[in-house]
Amino acid sequence: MKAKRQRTALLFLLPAVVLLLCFMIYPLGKTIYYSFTAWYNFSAVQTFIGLENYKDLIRDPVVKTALRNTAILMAGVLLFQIGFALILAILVDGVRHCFKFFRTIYFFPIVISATAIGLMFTLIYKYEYGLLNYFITLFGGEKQVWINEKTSIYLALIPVVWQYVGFYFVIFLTGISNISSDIYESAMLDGIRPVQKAVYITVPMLRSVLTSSIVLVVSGCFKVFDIIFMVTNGGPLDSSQLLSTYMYQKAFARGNGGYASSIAIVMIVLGVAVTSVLRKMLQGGEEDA
Amino acid sequence: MKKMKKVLAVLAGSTMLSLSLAGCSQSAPQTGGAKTETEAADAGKAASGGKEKIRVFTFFTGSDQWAPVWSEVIAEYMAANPNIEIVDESAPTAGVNDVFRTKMQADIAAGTPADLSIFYTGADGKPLVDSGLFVDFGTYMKDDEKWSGNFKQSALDSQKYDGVQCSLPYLGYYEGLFYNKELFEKYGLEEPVSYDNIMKAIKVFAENDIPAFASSMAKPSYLLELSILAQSGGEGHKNYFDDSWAPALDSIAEWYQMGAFPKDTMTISEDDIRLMFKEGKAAMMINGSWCVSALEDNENMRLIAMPAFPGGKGGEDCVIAGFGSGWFFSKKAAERSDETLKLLKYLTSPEIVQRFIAVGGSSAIECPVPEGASLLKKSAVEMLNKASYTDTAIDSQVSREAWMAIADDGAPYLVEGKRTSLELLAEARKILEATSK
Repeated sequence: MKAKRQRTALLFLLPAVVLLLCFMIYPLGKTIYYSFTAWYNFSAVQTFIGLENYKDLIRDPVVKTALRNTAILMAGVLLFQIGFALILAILVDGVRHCFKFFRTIYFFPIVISATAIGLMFTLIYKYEYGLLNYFITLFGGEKQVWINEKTSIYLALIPVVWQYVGFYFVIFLTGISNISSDIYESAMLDGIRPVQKAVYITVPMLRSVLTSSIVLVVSGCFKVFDIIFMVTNGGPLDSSQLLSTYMYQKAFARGNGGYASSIAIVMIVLGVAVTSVLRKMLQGGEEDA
Repeated sequence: MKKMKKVLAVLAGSTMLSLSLAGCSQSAPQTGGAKTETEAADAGKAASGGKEKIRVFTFFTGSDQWAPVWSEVIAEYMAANPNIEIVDESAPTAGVNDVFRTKMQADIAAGTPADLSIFYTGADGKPLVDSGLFVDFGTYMKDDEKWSGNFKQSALDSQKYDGVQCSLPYLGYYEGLFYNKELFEKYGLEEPVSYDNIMKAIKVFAENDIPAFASSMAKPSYLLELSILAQSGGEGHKNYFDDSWAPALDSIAEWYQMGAFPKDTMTISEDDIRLMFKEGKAAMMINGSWCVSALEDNENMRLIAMPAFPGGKGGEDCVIAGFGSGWFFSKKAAERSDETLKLLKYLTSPEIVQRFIAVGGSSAIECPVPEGASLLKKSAVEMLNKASYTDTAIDSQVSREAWMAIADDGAPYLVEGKRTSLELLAEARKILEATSK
């Protein structure tokens, strides 16, 4: 009986395994192979060059910029995406009226495609025909070049944060709704104030939700592409380049498939490493608590 | 009841599995040429209505000048041939994000190109030829000399790879220095027919807070191509990334320092560049024939060759022009039926081509010149007539990555003084050598 049940389970698992093998494991294996080759313009010819692509990668200043930008992105999303989402969830949970209205409004950016959000922010930041400069000139000010070497990554960070705040907001809101009302009621009898309620009850009770969200946010940083691609395309002077945008440029705009594959492998290794370390740290903390 | 549920579950699971396997087997390569003609014809037919679907890929979409003509032409063809459905997969080329190139590269990598595609030729078209997915037009042209006789021989020759006609030239292009005569007159400046006039214009326009050139450092290819030709002339034009090109690059850096470009030149899009020039917010623009239709209503617009740079060998006798793109015909479509070839012959007929060049560009097919040409178009014809040396743009002659080393990837660092022209040229040579192996 047990063996039969296992066979049925295996049968159901098989389609997913086949799909994963075809569309994930096989391409990953090929990417690892390509990263050790000189492969240009998607031609049929790949020349094995050993670790040359990886050596170039270490010397490449754009890769250093991309790594620095990924770190900025991580800090930004951790602070603002998680932070704003948590604050909004606590605030919305406390309102008596228009609960559904606020939930819909904050969740709304999630349903807009990243490309559309990117385009929207491009139109906001433009120098000649942009919305920000339109308002500045309307009030007699002088137009500004918003996207420059110093500001580009921070300005690109705004739509990235804005898009996913709603997602984590809904997760936190669901987490808060699962906290037993008895705890709040007894705290209220003790005369707890709203801020104290949030700090001493809500946030500690959300610990496991927060842990999962932090891991999701950090691993998501390695996948950010579309908004940066639309808003800055990695520029100016590669100042807002991420590993994902740089890999895309190298593969599809420059036709250097070998080098792009090595960037992809670094992205995967870093993503897995950072996420594993973070998970261990957070889980460790949870056990200690 | 419980048993029934199990049976249903197993059935659902096996259906999913067989569907996924069927998906895999469909894309498996055909072997031994065993595919019958009926099977091949069915492959392009829609599930309903029995129409043959022809997938076509061009850049005639979005803001492209030929997009409206293209839409009309394919709609007319489908109306006249109810058994045909043209699936238009066109993608835009303009802008910082070149989706056109990416789609073709992905299609080639997957081995599923459109039945009929317009794509860049020269170095950009080489991967298509190497893929072996497209036909050699030689036999088709021999079989129908009435049709093939319409093509200009020089245009055909320019698209041969090792003597093989892998693509058919269609609409040609030219690049030059567009300028707004009205702005030059307004500020008492002489027209930009010499390098000195350009330098004086840059100074005066910068004083008046007007960009002399509508140009983007995020996409500086046209500016570079013309500057290099103005410096190297015909004889040095094919000495790819030679140090003798350095003064051209240095001139661009000098212009940048003088304030010749828009304040947001590092990020401005190609579409905004064209709009800026059209609206009279910049005095000059280095661009190509694809911009003519949008500008020709303004009678103050002119087009000339880039004047020779100091010590340079170029000038008004050197022009960038040619047929940088052409039609590629997939082998799968050729094996399936004659319908795709029929469509190609329709699209390359003189009557249809004339409708395209009435909008802009030049034709690879002998056809009557459109009547009532604008002053801008006339100046373009004059520019082409004066030229004794004509060549295609450098970026279509060398590998993409090598060109990018001095263009999108290099120019911003050059003008900011973070890298020198000689460093960029040396890096481009190194990449060119690696990619040529």
